[in-house]
Amino acid sequence: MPEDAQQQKKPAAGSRISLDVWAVAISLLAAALIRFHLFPSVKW
Amino acid sequence: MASSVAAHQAPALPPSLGRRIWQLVPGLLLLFAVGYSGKLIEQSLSRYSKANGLHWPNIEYVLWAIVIGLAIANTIGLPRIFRPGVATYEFWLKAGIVLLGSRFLLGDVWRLGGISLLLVGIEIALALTFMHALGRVFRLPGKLASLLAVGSSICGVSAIIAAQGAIDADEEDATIAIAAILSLGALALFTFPLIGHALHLGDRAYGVWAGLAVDNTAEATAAGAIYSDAAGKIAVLVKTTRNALIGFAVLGYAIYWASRGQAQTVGNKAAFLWRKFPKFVLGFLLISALATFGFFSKPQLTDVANLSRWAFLLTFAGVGLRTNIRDLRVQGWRPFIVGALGEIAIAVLTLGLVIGADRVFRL
Repeated sequence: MPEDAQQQKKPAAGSRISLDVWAVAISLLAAALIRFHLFPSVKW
Repeated sequence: MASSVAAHQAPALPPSLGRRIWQLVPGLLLLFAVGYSGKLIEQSLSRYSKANGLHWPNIEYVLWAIVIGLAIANTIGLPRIFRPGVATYEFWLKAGIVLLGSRFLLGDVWRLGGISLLLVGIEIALALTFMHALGRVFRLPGKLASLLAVGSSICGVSAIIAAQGAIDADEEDATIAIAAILSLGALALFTFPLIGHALHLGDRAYGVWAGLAVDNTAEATAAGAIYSDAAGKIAVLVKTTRNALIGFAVLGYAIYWASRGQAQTVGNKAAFLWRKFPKFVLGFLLISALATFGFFSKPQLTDVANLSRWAFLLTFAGVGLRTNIRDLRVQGWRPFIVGALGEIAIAVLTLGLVIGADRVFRL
């Protein structure tokens, strides 16, 4: 079995949803910190 | 003696949160090192060509990061210590998409999203029909053909995993379908930008095509970003529209296989759709709404967009590091041929759709 498939198949449907929720929560937190000047300026 | 037996029989405790976070560090550092090396190579080449008056085409850091990752994964291999951290690339992909919402005004999302929805609907119908016909010609098992169809029409690996549970497909069928979709996605990374440049496609038209025709979200994002930053942005929007439809396709298959007595019946269809809906789409729309209604100042919008770029840098490094070319041999030639023929047909059909839509809607 390809390693990526193993990694992606291990979690049940519920835990895949929680990855989405984590990604949304942490992204919103970072955006809020930027909005309220609590995050350093991000250069690219 | 008794205590040693008891110690042997005691179930292994899951690692603590601190330990699990610590286990991510080496892989995260590797993702950063590979992605940042790609960025340094792009900048160095650009500076060198400017200083020497050379007119080399700019190769985006994305391609360098993927190539470095591929070289590591397929030569020395990825040592075990790096694997947990490298596996976080999917998290960075979703965080990057949510934060990318800041670069879209809601009006753009509705307009492009609406056109995408129309194109995605046509693409899904064509892809499902074509993959099932190919599956019959090559005598693939019905459920394997369904998994390949859902993987190539909607959302790559996520759709296959969602469909596998819903239609009670074999683990082996799902593994074969995932391997076929991933290996074809890796090929698309290198072929799509070449075709796009050969046809002189604009950033928006190319981005729509990559978002429509490349299956896995990480590869679709990378295939867009290799072309240009603007194309990457559009590819993400179109692919996100495709992802949003995952629940409907999986529900359709679940009902079909249940009607043939080969899968469990679906009880509450609305709850099923909500369970399968990718929640990061809502995060993307929320950030886009906040940006549209002036929640962020201009410099803050730049900061959020740059944070998205850093998240994608880690994602693209992960795409290379997790792609193992030897997996091509594991799956057998028939599913790969069906997948490849299907993908080529979908790529050609969607290219025609995009060129047509570009004329009608001026993408």
